[in-house]
Amino acid sequence: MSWSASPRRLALASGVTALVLLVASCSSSGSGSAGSSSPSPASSAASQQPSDSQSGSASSSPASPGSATGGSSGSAPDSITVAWTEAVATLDPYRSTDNVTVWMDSLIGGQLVESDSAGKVSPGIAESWTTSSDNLTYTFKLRSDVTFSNGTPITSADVVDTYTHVMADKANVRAGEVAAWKTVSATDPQTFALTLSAPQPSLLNILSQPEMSIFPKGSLDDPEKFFLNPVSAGEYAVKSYQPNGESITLERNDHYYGPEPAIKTFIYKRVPDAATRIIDLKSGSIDVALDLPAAAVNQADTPTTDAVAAKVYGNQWIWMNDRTGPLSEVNVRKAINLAVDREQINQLAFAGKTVPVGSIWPVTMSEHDISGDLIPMKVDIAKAKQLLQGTKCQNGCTLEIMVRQGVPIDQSSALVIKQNLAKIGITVNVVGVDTTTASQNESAGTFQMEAHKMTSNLDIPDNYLNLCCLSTGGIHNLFSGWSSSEMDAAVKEVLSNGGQARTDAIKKIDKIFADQLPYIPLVNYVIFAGVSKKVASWFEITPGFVLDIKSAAK
Amino acid sequence: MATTLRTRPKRRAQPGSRSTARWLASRAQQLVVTVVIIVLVAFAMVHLLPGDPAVTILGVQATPQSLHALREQLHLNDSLLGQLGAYLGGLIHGDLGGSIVQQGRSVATLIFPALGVTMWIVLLSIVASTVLAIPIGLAAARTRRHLLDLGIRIGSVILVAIPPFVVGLVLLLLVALKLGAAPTGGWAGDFLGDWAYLWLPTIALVAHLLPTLILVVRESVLETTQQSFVEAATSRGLPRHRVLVSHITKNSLLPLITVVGLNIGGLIGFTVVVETVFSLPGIGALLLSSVFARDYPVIQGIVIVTALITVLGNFVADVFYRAVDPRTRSMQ
Amino acid sequence: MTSAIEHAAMPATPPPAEPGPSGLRQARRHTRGRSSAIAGSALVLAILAACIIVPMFSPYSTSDFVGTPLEHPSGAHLFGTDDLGRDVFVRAFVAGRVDILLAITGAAIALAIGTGLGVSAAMARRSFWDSLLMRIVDAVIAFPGVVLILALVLVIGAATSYGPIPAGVPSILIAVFVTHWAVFARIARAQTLAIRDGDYIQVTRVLGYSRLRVVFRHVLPNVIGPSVAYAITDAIRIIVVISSLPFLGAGVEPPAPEWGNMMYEGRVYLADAWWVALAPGLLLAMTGIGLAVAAEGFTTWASGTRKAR
Repeated sequence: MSWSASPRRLALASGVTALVLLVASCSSSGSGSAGSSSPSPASSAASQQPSDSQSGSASSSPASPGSATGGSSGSAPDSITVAWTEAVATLDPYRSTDNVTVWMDSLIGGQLVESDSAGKVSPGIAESWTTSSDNLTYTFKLRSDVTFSNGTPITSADVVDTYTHVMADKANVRAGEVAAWKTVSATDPQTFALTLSAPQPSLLNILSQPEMSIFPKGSLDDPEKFFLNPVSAGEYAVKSYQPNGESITLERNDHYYGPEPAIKTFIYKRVPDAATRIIDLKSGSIDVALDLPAAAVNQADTPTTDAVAAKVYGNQWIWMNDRTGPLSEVNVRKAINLAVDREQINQLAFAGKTVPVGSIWPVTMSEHDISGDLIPMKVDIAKAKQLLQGTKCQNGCTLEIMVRQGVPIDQSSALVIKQNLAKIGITVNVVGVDTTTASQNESAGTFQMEAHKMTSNLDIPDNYLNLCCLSTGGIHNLFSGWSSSEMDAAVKEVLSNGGQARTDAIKKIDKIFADQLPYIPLVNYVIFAGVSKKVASWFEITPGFVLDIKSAAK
Repeated sequence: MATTLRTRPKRRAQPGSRSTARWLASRAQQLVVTVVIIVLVAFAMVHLLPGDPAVTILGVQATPQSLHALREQLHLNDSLLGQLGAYLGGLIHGDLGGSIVQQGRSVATLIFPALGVTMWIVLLSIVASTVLAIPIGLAAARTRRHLLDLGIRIGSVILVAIPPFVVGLVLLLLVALKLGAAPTGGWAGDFLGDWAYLWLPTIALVAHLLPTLILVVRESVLETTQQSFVEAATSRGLPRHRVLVSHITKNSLLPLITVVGLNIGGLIGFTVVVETVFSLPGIGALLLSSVFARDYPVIQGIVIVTALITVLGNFVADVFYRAVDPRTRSMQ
Repeated sequence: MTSAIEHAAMPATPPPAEPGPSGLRQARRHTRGRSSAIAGSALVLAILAACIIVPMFSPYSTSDFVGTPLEHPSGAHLFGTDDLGRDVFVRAFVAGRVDILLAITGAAIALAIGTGLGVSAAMARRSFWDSLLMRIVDAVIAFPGVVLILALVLVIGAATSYGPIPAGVPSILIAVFVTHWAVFARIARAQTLAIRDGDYIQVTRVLGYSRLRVVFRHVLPNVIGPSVAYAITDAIRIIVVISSLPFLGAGVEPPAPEWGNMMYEGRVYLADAWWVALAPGLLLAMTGIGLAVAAEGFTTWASGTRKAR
């Protein structure tokens, strides 16, 4: 009784199947959710306005939460659920640089001082401070009524204990920040003094960062246990933290010294797949879907949700390894710069939501306006080919560009770069690797080009320059192996001076960079997200890529 | 390993419980050897992975000093043999070690809840697929309506060829989003509430396993029907449906068990994908994140535990098989 | 000691010989299933041929940005464009080359080496090798394949493409082989054991044929049937596994098109730009049908031939 498959029957069966599938999918597309039947990002960009407050550079959005007041659209919801790809691996700020760890620590951590995006410092746990005349000793006076989230009063003993541990921790990921710290001491319960061995002009800004949070005395004796349920003095406190970090629930800290955040419960969930995040957002089970592929962000534009494109303090770059090969020649790098089509990268990788940059600084940082865009941003194939004469790539060459898997922006950028460089005879191979391998290649210098971002949390040049333009320490000029003693000197000037001297030093840095072009800035980086209208006026992605919950309007 | 050397297999069976006991002992022995091989391979493989977990933890800005200090703390600077010895020593005490990346959590507290979620879905899928496969496969094999048989077979083949993540996403879109009949992923954490989050991902997995089982059932029913003992039974006057139930079903069940056993490993693999789509806190999610972060103890733990489950599952199937099918007792 | 599972793992064990019909009906029995096998294989080969030929006639390449992103299917783009504005139709067919060839190659290598090992183990003079192989087979089958694939991808590296072979392929081939050979070994061993002690083989022993000759001329032809049938169904499984690899960060690396990574990248747009994921899915399903028909036909044909011996 076996089925004899005559070829005719087979063909009929396949044909019917194909037809059925086609018809089924045609009918399901009629009820598409985003509404537009040919969603091309360029055309729908005009109809949808990303919330400008999140992409502006001059806004007063603070880097440290709590000081902005929320919108006036009704009362705040009870809870907000934010979803992203990664789990909450740990809450230990000394053992992680994960975005999620930073977000959680900035929400639950209380620091001595707070700073806003412009770098202006204001009181935190400390209500006032003085500096010694040699700028080596800072004395802080703590608020008298401030307590941890469990009600225990905060005294200088807690501060001393926390910072003593930080200074002694050799494996601290941010050991560089405390390298110049000599002693910490408490003269009375409300006074805390920190003495440096060398001036550190950015000290106050650093003290406002989440990794400088104050913890109760004795907690850091067993950090592994402590950070499973940490206690500090931030706007929120940990309510529950699941193993595997699938989710974490924070609740408003009633003992917070500043204005309360408007939303009582903050939940962070891990939703690893971008497609699922979009679906979750539309179904209402999450309020914020972070990090969506650019071309899909329009799907978040519905009656109940907004599509958000937040420019941050950083750029999308072509990182380069200048040590060997064609990239060691400055003309090759400049030729690549002239061949790359920044506008096309903007359209295809960033859905047209960003702007090209011709400077190390993103347009969101005030330093950008000091020199403007010195690096040519217009495509000029003829000139590029001309520049290649006499170099290793005169008759064509092959380069590899590395991208991190699971980061669609990087992959799309790399593909555009591949197309662009083909026009000047450079063949580009795109290589996708996981994050750990990417980091390893970067540190070991076993890559040629990489399409990736470089961003900073604050609108002050210190950390940014540390990453991009210092050849000793930090990451050695963005892993390029390029170095210039002139540049190093200029950077040191910026780090130790203010005012006009700083501005002049930055001008010098910009000029050296444009001359040598060790790696190439492309466009201002953007974070794409979907935010439900219910929470939109209370939630913000700061340009420093920190999550902020606004406090209720007075 | 002298204990695994055996003499030439005896041709004749030794009836009675002595042979069963001997068989059990031998199988248990094989099990142990298999697990030991797996543990060693897992350790070797994990430490061959390029990349440094310390770099992943501390990030690219870490100084060489802090990297070194962290690796000291995590015992990553010890010799490989030393690390292996420490790990095996812990294993014997039932200690799987502590996670490198998720500071402060033991591997066991990370794995077992996740494993519970995954095995729940896997077992549910197996049971549902088996329960559905038998009547459908029987119908396909026994029907006189040729088109029904054809339809079932084409449907099965198409379903098998569609990757589970596609099925999962389509289900999410149509059932969870459009119809609102299920949550769009996540987990409740309490037993009763979890069922709501379970059924859609289970369907995604069943959609992949069921067609294979249908075809197996159909094939073995067809074959068994053709064999002479069925004709002999019906010619002896036994009612047809009784023949169907006792002889055919029993003989079809056995290949089913085999195929399920062979497929468990692959099923766990597809569960990883389905878990990503439905944001389930299962072993797949843990595996992906720990491999990418090079969290050695967690990776090793997952490998050992899942392999143990597969091996034990096959062992149970073996026992069941041996009990059901007398023919196998004579095979040594 | 054969596990009960291995006993049952042999598909289509030849039933005891029975007096069969004579003449023409007997002849028909021996070739039953052959037309299915041929029809199925023909479909798969036709799809493969289309994958090789159709892109040659397309004005678009697989990597150029030729249209606005996410355009509806139209006369210019039969399956629309993807999120970067590339033509989906041409990509789907080029992807087919990779998938079908990888599936056939992977299954063939696993079949050849697995069967070889299985037969050797069963025919070995000293049962130690048999035990050893079977324990390794058990370990391999129990080892979670996902971990192996992830590890292999990381160790081998997704880095380079060798000429026309896209990046990621070497690790896929090795991973597929390592995870699939074990079942073939089991099948081949069980089949060999079933006939090893039979009269037929004993006769060759008595006649003094060398072991090698016995294996190649007498054992293998009888053993190969179920193995090849399983190999053909395995090909489908291999394609499905490969297409799920992008979820694990493995698989054929973009921008080289492959049904799996096309569906993976298109999954985000399923709601409103469904054509991006549908085109590769359709071709995949059709290939699956072809392989399934071929496998079934082959099984029937092979068991019929065996019955005749």
